[in-house]
Amino acid sequence: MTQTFAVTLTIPDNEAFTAFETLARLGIPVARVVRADIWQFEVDASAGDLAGTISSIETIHNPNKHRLAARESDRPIPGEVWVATRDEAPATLVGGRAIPGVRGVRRRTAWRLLDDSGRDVAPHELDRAIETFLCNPAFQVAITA
Amino acid sequence: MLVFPGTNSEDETLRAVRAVGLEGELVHWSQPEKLARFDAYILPGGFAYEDRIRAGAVAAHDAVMDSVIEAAQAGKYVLGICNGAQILAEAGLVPGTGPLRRPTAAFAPNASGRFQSVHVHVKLAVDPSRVPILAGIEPGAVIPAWASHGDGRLAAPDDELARIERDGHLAFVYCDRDGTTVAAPNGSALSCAGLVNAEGNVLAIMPHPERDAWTFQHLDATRDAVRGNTEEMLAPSGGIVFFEAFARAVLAEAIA
Amino acid sequence: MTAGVDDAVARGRELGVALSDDELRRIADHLGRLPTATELFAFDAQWSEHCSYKSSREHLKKLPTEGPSVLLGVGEDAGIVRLGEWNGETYGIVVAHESHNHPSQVVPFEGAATGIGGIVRDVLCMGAEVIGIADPLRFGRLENEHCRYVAQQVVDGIAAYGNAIGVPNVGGDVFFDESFDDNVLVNVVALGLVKEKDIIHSRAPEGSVGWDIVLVGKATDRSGFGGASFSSLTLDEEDADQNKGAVQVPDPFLKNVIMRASYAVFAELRANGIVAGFKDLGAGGLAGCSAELCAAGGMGAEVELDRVSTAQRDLPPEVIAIGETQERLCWIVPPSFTPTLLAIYNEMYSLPRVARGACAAIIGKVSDTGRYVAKHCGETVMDVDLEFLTGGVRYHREFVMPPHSRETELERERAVVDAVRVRPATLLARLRAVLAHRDVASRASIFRRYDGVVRGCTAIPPGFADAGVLVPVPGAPLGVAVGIGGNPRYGKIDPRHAAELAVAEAVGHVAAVGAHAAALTDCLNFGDPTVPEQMGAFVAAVDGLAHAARELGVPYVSGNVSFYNRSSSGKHVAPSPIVGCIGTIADVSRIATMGFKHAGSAIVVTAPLELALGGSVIAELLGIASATLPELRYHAFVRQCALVTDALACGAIASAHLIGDGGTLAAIAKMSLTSPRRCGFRVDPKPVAEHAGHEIVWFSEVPGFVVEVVDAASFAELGARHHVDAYDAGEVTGEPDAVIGDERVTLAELREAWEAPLREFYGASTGSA
Repeated sequence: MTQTFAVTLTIPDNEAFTAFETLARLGIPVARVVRADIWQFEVDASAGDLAGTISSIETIHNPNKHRLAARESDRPIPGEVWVATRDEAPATLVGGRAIPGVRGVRRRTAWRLLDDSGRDVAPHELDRAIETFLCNPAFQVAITA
Repeated sequence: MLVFPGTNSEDETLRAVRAVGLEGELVHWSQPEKLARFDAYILPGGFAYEDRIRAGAVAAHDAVMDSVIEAAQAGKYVLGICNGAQILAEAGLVPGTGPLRRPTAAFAPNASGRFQSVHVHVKLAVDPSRVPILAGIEPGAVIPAWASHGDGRLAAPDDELARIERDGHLAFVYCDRDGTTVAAPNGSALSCAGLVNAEGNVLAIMPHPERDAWTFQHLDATRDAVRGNTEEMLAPSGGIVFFEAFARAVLAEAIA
Repeated sequence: MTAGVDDAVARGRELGVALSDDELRRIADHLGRLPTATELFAFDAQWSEHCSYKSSREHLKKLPTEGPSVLLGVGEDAGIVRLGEWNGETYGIVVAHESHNHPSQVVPFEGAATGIGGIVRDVLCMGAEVIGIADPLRFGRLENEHCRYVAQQVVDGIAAYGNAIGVPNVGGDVFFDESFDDNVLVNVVALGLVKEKDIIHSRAPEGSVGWDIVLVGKATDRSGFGGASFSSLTLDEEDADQNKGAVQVPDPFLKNVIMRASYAVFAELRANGIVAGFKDLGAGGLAGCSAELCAAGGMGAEVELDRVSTAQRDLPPEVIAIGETQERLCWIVPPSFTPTLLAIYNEMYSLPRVARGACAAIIGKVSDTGRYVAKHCGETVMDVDLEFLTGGVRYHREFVMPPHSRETELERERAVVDAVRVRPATLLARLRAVLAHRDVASRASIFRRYDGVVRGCTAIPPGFADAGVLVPVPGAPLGVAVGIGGNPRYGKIDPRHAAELAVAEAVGHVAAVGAHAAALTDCLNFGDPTVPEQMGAFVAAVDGLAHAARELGVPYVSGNVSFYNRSSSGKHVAPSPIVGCIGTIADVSRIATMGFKHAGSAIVVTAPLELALGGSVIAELLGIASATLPELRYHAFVRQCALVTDALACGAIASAHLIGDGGTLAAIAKMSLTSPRRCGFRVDPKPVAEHAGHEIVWFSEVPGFVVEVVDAASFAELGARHHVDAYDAGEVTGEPDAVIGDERVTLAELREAWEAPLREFYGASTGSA
């Protein structure tokens, strides 16, 4: 079974800020970029309260600067792209530590591009952002909804 | 020498460049207008824009890179070391087999998943005529350097890797001190330590020759051989041969 | 007594400050009114143990701090030691030392990272270029899952910060001990380079009334609010989550840019002949920093909190004033220079583009009132006498000196004989076990996570010698070495003697590369000072530090105290006086790494081998409960150090290594395992074993050196001149083997024993050097 979590920053997200500046320079009609770390766990029955466990692992979630939210789906939501490392084997340790009941961990970066009315940019603009900047196909893959 | 926010190896690289008789200057990201008058460009090591999005990705799209890309296309020499190499790959200048800023290869995260700093040797893996940017470099030249990076693993689709090898883009490979090729400490495909474009005027190298370019920096027996000789201990040697070759190329071009 | 006094206690409790009732009453009494929240938090930080050294100051006075090598003594953010002259300029090495123990326990990655960030600012604000860092680390047992996590994350945090700002990590040490299971120790030493004439002081300059107070750096946020008093609290597992908010969020990338921009400001100040004040924001935040700047100059301050760039809207004034958001510094400059200063940070280095809200901005003016006045939304939220605020409080803590008990010589010998009978093994088998001990095993897999060579000034990166060596002035033969000393196993047995040995160890490490000990820096990590036994251990350690420094003739230029390193279950850390020694080298062509260089050299030991096993690795492995620490004979040790540096300088020896954890035989093995020519060695253990009464003496951790003699005649002459009785232990060979008496093992096997333990934990990575 797969459990998916999104971790966002509660402090200013400089990476999203920089992505916005670069995408704007590339002519993408974007007003705001939202970024999240997506953590996917392959779990067995013994995993228990996974959200509780990972919320105390600083590598995933530091309450000082992060917000942790469970995702219903194992796929990106509409308007979102996940960038992942190609052919990546799931990790077994996080920050050097095994998580009880977790067989494998995958980490991706989720991006959402919003226009000045707060709506997702048009799909072809998202595609252009992926092709020109967000994903390096030499070693990454882009996963969309 | 370009300085992006996050660059951290500009001073020692500038020292190496000056030691081989070139005149160099640091140009900040906020000063793109200063770039045009130079004969050659170096992108030194560091973490430009904090490696946000991907190592080298943001800097590759920075306005100052417009001038560098233009210069590279005009045939001027462009050298990227470590983070500079990542930027050149993201800018599509190396291996240079695709459109600009559409990378066909990457210096991706190390196989270990982390930053590591180890002393290495690298070997020229192409015919010297393929790298006019390193004029007069010996065939198979072995250069000592430090591989100090978190993202130095050459990654590309299989057909692109085959092209890199076949068409002479594989400029440097990791080797032992005797020049025998070894597996890359970062898991790099083809044991790649450096890439060059088709014209041979743009070179990207991951390890830092400038960090083992003076005798006092050598960890092998060559340092012990000059113990007590102050002048020789402070003299350039080792990795400096890389910059000497670069200087020969730049000076020849400047005269011509 | 005024009416507000009792209300102040209630208010203090309500706000959750760590000030005592007495302290709250004193504050209210002094102000003659109920203190504001901002004021209470300001006093809370300023009067914390962390800022005021209220329990330690009366004892720290004992430490010698003066000497010809000192350019700037203890008192500002960092001390400065004379490096030497080059091209008519006098160069100094700025030395700062900090602990970041509590944050690193709670949020290991960020806690350790911000530890680097803080110390780097301490060096930067002296007007110096930051040239190196070194970390003494004390982790819990790796058998414990949480300790493993902390031990990984701390190393990664240090690496992430140091590597990004481009400052080489040139040394440090690591110990693993159960007393650190709940309280990790993360100390950090940072070094800077400054010309004597360019030193910037952390004070409002003379005649600076009306000058601008400029805040530089990250936008202020809620992170790190309450950090100073947090580090003076006992850690409770249940509080850990709650305390995470007190740990700041590091941004090494922004720091990288701020450092470089500050270097550009230094150049402008020099070009214009302007004297300015500069200080980093650490404990106590903006109010603490600007208050100390103005108090040190005998001035006052008027600050507008509304002018502070904030990351969140509607931050309360106490958070803006006291919060410990990272990556911030404070300048005091004449208004005529302010536009230049702002342009460098905001335009040339474009801080606002690098991080959202980051900038340089005027936030106030220097006054001549001697008061600190802060306004927020038109209201005065702070108005206090600066001397009262920054003068702090002093406590005399009750203490009980640690008991002295050591076994008799007869008991000691019997214990060894018994232990060896229970666990019979050959010398070689014992050597393998010692090399694989967690405190002896190769640290290479940790050091490889750090960038030890960025800046291109590193002559000896960590792991290749007893001390890291930098050549910080390009073109000049001047070198600086940094050596670390301190051993928790010794600290548990006898804090005073452990402190003395820590000083000797740090000094010896510097001598072993050929440098002259120029200055010391100490970080004192102890338990709860309100527990008399813990306070007693601290007092004993300070006595030991003072005594050793006097005997060895080296002054302290900086230091730090970290108390309350105890868990809620009442477990205190091993008394841990940790010492750094800064060595200077006039001619770096004379230095040497510790690896054997030439087949045929004689392996010579400069110290008499005696059976003193207290706190040693072999005692732990054999289960010997000895309380006798190695004897430290100062005169003999000073002469040994002089012999080693002189012999390295004239080329009589090619390498040297201080005998430390694991003793003489482990020292010899490590010199072989780090040999650039892969030299082996041959040792005949019998004569020494017979002389000392037992072969276990080869693992005795006596203060002394193993040296590789290449010119026997010159070495003998020097030995006679320094009155050092050295003895031959064996020879360096050209074979890839270690030979101990009749036993032989390949270096590859020995290397595996030495490297495997931490490599398995920290991961392999190979180079080809």
